[in-house]
Amino acid sequence: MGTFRLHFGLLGLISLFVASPVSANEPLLPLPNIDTGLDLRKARLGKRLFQDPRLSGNNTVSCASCHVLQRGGSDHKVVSMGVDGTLGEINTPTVFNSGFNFRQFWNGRSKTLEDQIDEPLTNPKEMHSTWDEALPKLRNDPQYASVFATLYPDGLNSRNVKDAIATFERALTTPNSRFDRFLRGDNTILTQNEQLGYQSFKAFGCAACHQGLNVGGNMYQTMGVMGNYFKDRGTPITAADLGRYVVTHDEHDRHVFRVPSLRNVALTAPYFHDGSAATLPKAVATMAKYQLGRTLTREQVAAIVAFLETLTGDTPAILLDRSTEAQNP
Amino acid sequence: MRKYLLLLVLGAGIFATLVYFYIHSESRLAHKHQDVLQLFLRAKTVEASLEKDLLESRAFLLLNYDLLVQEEAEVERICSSFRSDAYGLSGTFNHDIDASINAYCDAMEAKVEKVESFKSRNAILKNSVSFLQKIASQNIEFAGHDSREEGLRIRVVNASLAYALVSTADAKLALEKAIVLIDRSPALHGLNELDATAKHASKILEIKDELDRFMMETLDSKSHGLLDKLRASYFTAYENDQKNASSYRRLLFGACLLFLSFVLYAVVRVWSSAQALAQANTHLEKRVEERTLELSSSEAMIMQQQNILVSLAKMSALGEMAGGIAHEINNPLATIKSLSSQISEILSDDPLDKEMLSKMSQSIEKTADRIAKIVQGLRAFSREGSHDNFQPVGVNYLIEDTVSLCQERFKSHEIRLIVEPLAAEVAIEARASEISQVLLNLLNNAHDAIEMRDVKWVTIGAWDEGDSICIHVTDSGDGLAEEVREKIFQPFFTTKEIGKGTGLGLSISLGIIKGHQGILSVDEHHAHTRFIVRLPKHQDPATSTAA
Repeated sequence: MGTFRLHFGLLGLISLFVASPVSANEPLLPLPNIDTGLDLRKARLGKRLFQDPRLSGNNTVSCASCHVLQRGGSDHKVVSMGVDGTLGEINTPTVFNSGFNFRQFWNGRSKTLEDQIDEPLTNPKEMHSTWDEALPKLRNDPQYASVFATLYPDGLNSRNVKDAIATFERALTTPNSRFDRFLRGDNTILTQNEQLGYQSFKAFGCAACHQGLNVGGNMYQTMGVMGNYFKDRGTPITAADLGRYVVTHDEHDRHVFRVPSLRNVALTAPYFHDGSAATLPKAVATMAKYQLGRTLTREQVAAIVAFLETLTGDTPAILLDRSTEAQNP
Repeated sequence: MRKYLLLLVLGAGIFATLVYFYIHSESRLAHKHQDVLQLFLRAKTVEASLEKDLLESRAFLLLNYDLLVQEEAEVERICSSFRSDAYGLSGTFNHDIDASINAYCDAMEAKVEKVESFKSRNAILKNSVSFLQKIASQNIEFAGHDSREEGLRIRVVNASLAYALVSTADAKLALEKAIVLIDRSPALHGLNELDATAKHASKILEIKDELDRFMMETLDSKSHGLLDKLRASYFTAYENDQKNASSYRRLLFGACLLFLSFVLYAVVRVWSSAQALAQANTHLEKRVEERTLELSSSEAMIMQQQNILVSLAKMSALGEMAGGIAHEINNPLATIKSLSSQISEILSDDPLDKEMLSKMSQSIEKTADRIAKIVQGLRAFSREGSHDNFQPVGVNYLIEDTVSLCQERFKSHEIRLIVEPLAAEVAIEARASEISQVLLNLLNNAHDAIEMRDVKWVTIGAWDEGDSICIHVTDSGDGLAEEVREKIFQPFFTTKEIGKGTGLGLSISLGIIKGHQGILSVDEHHAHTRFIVRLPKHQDPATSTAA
């Protein structure tokens, strides 16, 4: 009978972090709806740069080639294609809400969006260029020259290009998802199954890592906490699989990745750093097995997927902003 | 005369300009000083809140890491301000400051890395603990499970929850042994839930030390001292600077005597900016004091965590009893089953032995009543009672209710259980479910202590002492050795074999009895092992609520 008591006592305790009422004390937080205070002119400039293939070595690839703005900020491929059809090494993470991530890249090797930009620009498998190569091409465009001169005292240089692109990326937020409205107190907006999915998401432990404002993106975690994901996957281990180990060379960091954000996750298949899960149900089942040590029933997976689909937010306002087009040649 | 006047005006102009520049540079310095103080304040603040939030995360009181992430970012901003010398610290002063800045920032950046390692492991721990809590709450549905599997699972769950929450060597040892028990039982491998339970338990064992090490390293970090050192060298440098400036100041003041109005003006300005400076200084000291206070409230947080831990461990100890109950119900169920199969056999006989049938059906009814009684007892137990009000309850009723929950266990081990109730029922004010828990714990301990002896009996009885009631549980053992008696109420002390007891039963019982203003003691003068529970008949309302 001890366990009866245990059961009831635990309910009280679990309610501390599971069963508390909506909006108060949830592990997940809604995205801010309000204006982020970004300089809209710089964001518009960044939007144009983001879609400008002149940043790549052979003028064929832009940031938006892989981070497709109409498709949830990624490209639905296992790995993306860089200049001359070269395949990348890791699944392209979405650029949406990336400003809320505490580090950039799957292994977190960049602390800021600005720093992050250097790598895809110079990576031979991505844009295969250099700043020395790209900047003159941009300077040749009189419109860039004049916009940069207006917005930045020191005009067009790599620091300011990065600043503009990062400002645009910070504007790529997707507020007002149905789940965020639920968190803000609209109790009727989620179906029963979606609410059940959210409860399971917390109770099964998904929310131990996918948590906070960005439903992820605020910590590192090992891929395969409760099982050997890489052994079971069957394909050889690649450099990309090593995760943070590449950065720190600490054995503890082998296969450690930044926990990805789950916002708009329904739009960003395939999943994981290796793009190995083609569908959301498959991704959820794999995560449960290797991260949580649980086998979920088909119904449990379906409920969690239903919840994850409520994390799709509004299209970022900056993408609906027509005035940008006026600046384009 | 006109010439003098002209000179005077010219001189006044020059000195006015000088005074203006003097005041300007003084106030600029003061502003800079204030900015630096502000930076120190931010550094002190963020470090304190980082540590506080880390502890809260460890106690599972923070639901997400966003606060920690914000604090990490603040640390990075502060370090980059220090390092990039945004306040011109190193230029104005000496090289010593550069070294101090680097030492401090290096320590803080290392700390942030440690926080990262902490965060990942803490999430794993939280997940495994919540998995095991779920299993613990499922242990209740034991019907149909293999009892050995059940028993092992309860042991592993209890041991891992206890270890996850308190870092004692005993708790760790108990967990290791419990896991070994599963490993050594190949027959039990492949049972989905048991495997998963063992996996989570091993995970806790694997990461717990690392987690606590990262936490302690973050908390013990020498960065506090480094910040204080940096502050101290800044202040020394600042005061030197002020001293150097003072001769220049005297000269100016002397000159300014000629132009009293300007001097007065200057004095007022300098005085007020000095005032602002002093204020900023006191303000800073006050804030730092507040933050330090907050830090010591982090220690209170650890205490609070400990309390949560104890209550969790307490619950896990309760889980142990579940196995016994399975026994209590399974035996009468087996009786009913065999009686009913006998009845089916008799039914095919001709002629029908009606007398036999009626005897057997009475027997079934009696057995079913026993089960009903056990379930009734269970119902009283199934409530978390620590927040209940004290209610009048009969002492004999309490004893009989508890006995019904373990009778079968005693019988199956051929231990005579003697109940000696009060001659007449007496009511006491108590939380019935808690007192039953204590009595059951004492009965189970007595059972375990004498199970292997030749002479096996346990007596539970009570006597009236006017204001209070004494309930005793006595077994056929020879009493307790002095060194056992001294430690027996301490948490995690157990004489049972490793894995069998959590060593929490008596310490929890002691807490419950204290909560009732009562006394739980060992009767050292008795020839056999005797525990006595002394409970007042009436609770003093003022103190009982506090308890």
